[in-house]
Amino acid sequence: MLSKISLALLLCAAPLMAQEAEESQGKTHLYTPPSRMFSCEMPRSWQSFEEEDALGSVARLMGPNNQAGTFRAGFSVRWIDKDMPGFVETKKAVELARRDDKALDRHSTPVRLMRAGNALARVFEITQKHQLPEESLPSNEDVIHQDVAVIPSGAGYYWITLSSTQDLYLDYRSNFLQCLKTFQPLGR
Amino acid sequence: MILPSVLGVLCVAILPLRAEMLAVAHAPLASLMGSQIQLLIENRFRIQPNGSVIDPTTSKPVPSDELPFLLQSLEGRKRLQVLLQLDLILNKSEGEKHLTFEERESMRAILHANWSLFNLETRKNFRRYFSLEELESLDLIPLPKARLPEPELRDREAAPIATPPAPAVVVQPAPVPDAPVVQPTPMAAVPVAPAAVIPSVVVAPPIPPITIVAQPAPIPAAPAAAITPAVVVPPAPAVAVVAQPAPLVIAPPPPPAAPVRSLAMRTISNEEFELFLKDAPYNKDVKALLRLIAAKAPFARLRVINDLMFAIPQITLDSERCGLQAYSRLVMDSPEKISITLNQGVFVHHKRVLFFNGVATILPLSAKAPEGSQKVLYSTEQQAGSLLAELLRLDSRLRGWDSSPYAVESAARAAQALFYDVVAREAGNDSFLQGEMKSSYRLWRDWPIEYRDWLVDSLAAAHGEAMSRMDPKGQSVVAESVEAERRIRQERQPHALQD
Repeated sequence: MLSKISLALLLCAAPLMAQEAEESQGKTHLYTPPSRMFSCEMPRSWQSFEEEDALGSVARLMGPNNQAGTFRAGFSVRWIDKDMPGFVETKKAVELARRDDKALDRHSTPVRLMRAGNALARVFEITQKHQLPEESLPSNEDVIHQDVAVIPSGAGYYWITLSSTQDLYLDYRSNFLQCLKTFQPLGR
Repeated sequence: MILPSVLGVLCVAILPLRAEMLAVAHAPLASLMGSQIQLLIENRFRIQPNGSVIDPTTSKPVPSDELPFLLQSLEGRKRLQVLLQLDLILNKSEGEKHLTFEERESMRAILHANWSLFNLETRKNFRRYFSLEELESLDLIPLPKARLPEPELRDREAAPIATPPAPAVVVQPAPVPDAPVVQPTPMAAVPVAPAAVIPSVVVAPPIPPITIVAQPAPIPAAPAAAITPAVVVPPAPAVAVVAQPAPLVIAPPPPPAAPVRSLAMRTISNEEFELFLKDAPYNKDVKALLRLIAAKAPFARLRVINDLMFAIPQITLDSERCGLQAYSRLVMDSPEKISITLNQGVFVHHKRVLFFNGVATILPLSAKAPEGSQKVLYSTEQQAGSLLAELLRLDSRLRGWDSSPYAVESAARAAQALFYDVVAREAGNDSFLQGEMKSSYRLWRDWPIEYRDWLVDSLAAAHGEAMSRMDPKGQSVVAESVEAERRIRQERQPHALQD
């Protein structure tokens, strides 16, 4: 009897689970930037663009604003090539990024290893306080949270960051994990 | 017989005076909204039957050209007061998502009564407190910006300018007899004996940005070219022109006085800039900031100096006029009417949680700061950095690369950070920076990837979809700033990618 009830429950739940998977699939898509630096699952509705800054090329995806409208959740993916001037190797780069700073109220978590596509990523979190909005008043202190993943690839590495205000970072945690799970370096 | 004629004379004399007084004192009340009139009354201004507005402190009528500024100032204060009231309710509550009925109704009442004070962004944040029908009527209330334009305020310590500003007119730091003669195209160079620099007064061919000649600054300025022969380019014809007596306007000793005000980029020597500053309509504090920028800015220095000498914007240090801008404010009604205001400091209030300093709130100096607030005044170097950023924003408007707000902010912040870096390295510390600016600079210096992410995400909150838009002009300026930053990071530390 019990097994029949269980089976009935399972059969009822199956369409719901399929619907949920379908919905989540609809919310993300396989994103490849124009430079074809990498590909991974990213939220479909996030605004994407690539740019070149002083540290190299970076692909960005901008998500929703926080409630106060002062900070926007965002992904950034950089490729750090060994031939770039000022190149720092992976382990040292991670150590430097995780450096705490009491004056800036900056803290980081220990490094965890996670599978990212076919590679092993070093994953950690950073929090730091900032005034938001930054150039208008009145402004309040807010904590910015970053999930960081460093994925070695050949002689270089990818630096992936998901930034948001701390009150919302858990809302985007699944996006970050999905990105890592489906991450594929291209052309390396 | 005599008396009526005397009376007549007196009436004739008095009438124009009275008309003038009325013209001065009569405020354009008809153009004011009910909420603005209410604001005046709340602040004890008296409105006379003839329409004039009497200042409660001086008991004199407010001149009509000052009324718009007065209203904007009052609105700014009222807006701050309202925001603080809302903040107080939220702080006392369990959180914005868990407001009680009374708290929510209080918020709605305050918002409804003061909706006319809020700009678009603030209104968007509070829309969820109202139903669609209510929003329909609230949206009919015009935004604050749509009201009276702000009048031009003159700097009290302004030195008189030798010649009136006009785009194609010769402007001499020292008075020149035949000032307006110099044409844009002929290269009426400075023939002066002092051998120094003979910058070509080239207006027609746009010279690419070139670093300042004989520049003692430690860092090469423009990324585009070093001190190249472009400086020397036209001197031959210039000398020939010098030989001709008639079109030569520039007689006086100062060497490369800028005879033509033009946006075309040209080399400006230190002497020329000093001469410009000598007669420029700025007080000594502002001149000190400009000298600092001229001496130390490693990026965009030539660009902003050219703009400064072309546009001669009004620059003042006035926290009240800055309104709700934390560092600086640029107002450009036209290329002839530009004002840059720098904030002198802020109040910092720490909301205590038990025995600890909790969340810090930054308030403008014009606000009534809560008890226990600390007044923080910005240093000269910090203000100079803010001024440099604002001048670069002005450059974007003058030279037409402001269609991408992201490009403008990216370049402006880069110029500011690079400037602070030079100052910090020379001083051996960054103690001249306060508060969030210090955090921001240290992030830029020590964790550049994180800095970049933070900057983009906070700008994106303000600029939305415009973030990805980058026009070619904006792109080229940003590319210059990128090049300057790369060079400086390499010079600072060879392995500077993450440190």
